[in-house]
Amino acid sequence: MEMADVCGLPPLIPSGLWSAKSAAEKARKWEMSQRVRSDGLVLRHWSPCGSTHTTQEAASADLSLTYSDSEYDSLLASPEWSRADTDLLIQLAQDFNHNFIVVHDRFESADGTTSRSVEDLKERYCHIASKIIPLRTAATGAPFDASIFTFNKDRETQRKKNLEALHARSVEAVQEEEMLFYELKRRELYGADWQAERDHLVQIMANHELPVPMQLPPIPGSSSSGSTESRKKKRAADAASGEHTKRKSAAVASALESVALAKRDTPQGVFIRGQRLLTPRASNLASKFKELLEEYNLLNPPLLPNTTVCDVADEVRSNVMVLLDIRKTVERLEHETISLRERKRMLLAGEVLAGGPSGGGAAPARADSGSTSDEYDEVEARKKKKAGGGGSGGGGSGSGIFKKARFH
Amino acid sequence: MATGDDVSAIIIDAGSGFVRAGYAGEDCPRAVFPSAVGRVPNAPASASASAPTPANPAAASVESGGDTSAAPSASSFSPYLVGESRVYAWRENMQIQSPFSNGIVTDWDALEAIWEYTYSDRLGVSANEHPLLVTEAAWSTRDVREKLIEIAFEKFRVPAFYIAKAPVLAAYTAGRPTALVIDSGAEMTSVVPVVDGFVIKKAIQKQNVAGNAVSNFARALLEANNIPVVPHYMVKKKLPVDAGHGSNPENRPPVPGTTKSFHDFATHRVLTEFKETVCQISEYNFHQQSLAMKPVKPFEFPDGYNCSFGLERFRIPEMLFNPSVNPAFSDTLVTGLHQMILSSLSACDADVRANVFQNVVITGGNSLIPGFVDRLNNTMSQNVGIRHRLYTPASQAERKYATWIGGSILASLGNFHQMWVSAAEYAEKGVAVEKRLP
Repeated sequence: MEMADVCGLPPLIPSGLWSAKSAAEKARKWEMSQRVRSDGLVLRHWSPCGSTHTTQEAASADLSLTYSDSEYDSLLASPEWSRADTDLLIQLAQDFNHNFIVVHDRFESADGTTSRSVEDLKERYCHIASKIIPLRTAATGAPFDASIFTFNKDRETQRKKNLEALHARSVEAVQEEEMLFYELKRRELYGADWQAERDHLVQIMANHELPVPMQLPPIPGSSSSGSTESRKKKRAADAASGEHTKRKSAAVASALESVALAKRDTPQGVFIRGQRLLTPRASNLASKFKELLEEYNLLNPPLLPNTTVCDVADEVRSNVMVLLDIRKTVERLEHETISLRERKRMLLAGEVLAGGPSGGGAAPARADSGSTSDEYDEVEARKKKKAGGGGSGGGGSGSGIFKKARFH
Repeated sequence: MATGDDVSAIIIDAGSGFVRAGYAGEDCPRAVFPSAVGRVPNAPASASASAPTPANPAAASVESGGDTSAAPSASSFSPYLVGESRVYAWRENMQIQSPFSNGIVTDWDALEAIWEYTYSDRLGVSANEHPLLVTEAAWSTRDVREKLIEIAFEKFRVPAFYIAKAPVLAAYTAGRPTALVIDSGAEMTSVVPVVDGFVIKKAIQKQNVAGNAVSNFARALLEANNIPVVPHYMVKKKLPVDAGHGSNPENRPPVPGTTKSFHDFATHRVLTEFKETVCQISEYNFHQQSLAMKPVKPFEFPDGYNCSFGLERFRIPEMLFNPSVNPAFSDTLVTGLHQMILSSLSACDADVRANVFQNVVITGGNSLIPGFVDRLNNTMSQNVGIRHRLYTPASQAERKYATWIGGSILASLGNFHQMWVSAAEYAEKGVAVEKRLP
């Protein structure tokens, strides 16, 4: 039978191995080397020219523990270990290159009843080594490092117990842990952004004499925003205690900083007052800004650009900017709410699909994701209420803001 | 050994279903043939007349030169018949038997015949010129290993010999010294952890529910549905019939002089084809309603009977994961494959468990049933709280011959030449040299 018949498929040459570079290189020379073993077995093997063969026979000889009967009786006798078991342990450790997992697998106590753990074997081996090796090295004068052969059995047993407990976790527990871990990561990553966003909103609202916002629940685990949070808490406390004027002035000052319009500096020399009208700094808002002004026929510079008229025009423009800003935020938050709701739905559905009656483990995780979206719902609802009696589109809300601005 | 040849060891991987043999260093076995052997009793009248004489003088020489235990059987039976062309063909009174029971060699004469056939008929080389590496089940015993060594050196006079554990070799094929090897073959399904190239014997899980058991269940289900499985040798001529209609009974006349073992063997070949064509394992837990809606698959039996199979094609292999679907296992200790994996893992030391489970190697012909790997993956993610990663070679050949390929890799390694048991070593220590093999 041909080889191709046997496989069902012809052998393929991996295409990645060949390259122009490798073709240009000169091939190494290989030769048929003959290796003769100590017992006369001759095997031929292809090997690169000039490579030397190292035999691995001598490698394992350096840690052979041997002891005489008298040494055993005086140093190694133990009530728990028989001589036969000890000999077997030493032999197996040598055969399997001190891989104690395999040694433990092959170890069968002579009386057939004593069961010994991996730790028992390691402890016994280290005990023997720490007794015998100094005897051998004392003769040659070689230094002996006793720390190699100290074995803390209790600690190892405890460690293994912990590991067992880790492995014994149910799949639900592992999944829940993973989900919490990613949630924490997410919060660590975006916590500062969320906090900054909230502060920004609070400032915008404060600037326009909207009702004082409720204290948002602090974000658990966002250590990075600790300072802002404490500041905010303080502010909320101030508001509650009725120091209205102080709060207002502070809020107005910070709102001025954050307003999204270009700050004006007094130009040098002669200038046209119309040039100093506020224009949006963020280019992505410029077109919407124009549209909104056109709608109210305010795009052109005032006919009589004196100080009073220009100030009012500026005021209007700055309010338009705030309106756009709020609208944008509302839109974004709405999107986020939708995506979070979707995620919540998927998580619930996913659990139903995969877990079935696994409720106990997964429930906290579900509640957790739920609270995130609830939080967002709350923010969104509050936002809508504040953005001029709700409604995030059309001229109605815009005029509301304008009215308010004029009274301002 | 011819000058200019590499070590050129022979690798023989004899499983309970098929024997795979070839040269070390190659990527595919040269010879693959069924491991079942045939024997024809030497009835005085029909021996020379009707039964074709086996064209295998080499096997005959083994038989005649066999030890005393083989001598009485040699007088009443013809030599062993090995190879597809001999065991698949119908012969009067030919009995088919497997040299293996639960993955362990029990019929040594049959094994010798298999080796002899491999050397003389398939590879065409002399045994005494090439080192020989054979594989064995992970749960093989010392007696078996000693007997193997004895046969290799005494009968075949190999210059060097080695016995490697099948799961270790499968792990080598995957390039992993530490792995959890799931091997589902013809007779046995086993889960064996391998740590640094050594089998962890105390954590071996095995049960004889594999390809053959799936075939048996398929046969039982087909017969319960009044679908007779007619093997090739009984069919006179394939006559086309409509789907679901029985074929003409005159088309399959009874063949006198057929032994039950041959009939079963021939039936199993049909069932294997049926299984490979039709069966599929549900990706998730067996759910009758959703699986009933999956597309059906048609199959035509050798006698022309053809039919489409829907739910049955999922129910049959489902027994590997969920033995309760098979009434034959209702009061046995047979467990699902994932249960075997769990037991094996919990028997492993906690220090190696995670590492072992990171390298799950799947091998064996039975694992080629579509959906096997997906189901295993899903079941393990649902039941085990430790991360796992499956290693499943894309090519079917690599999955089927993983053990053989591992042997080929091992024997062609430069460092391996120190590991061979040489004839001189055997002459010195005798079968006690078994202790040197891990």
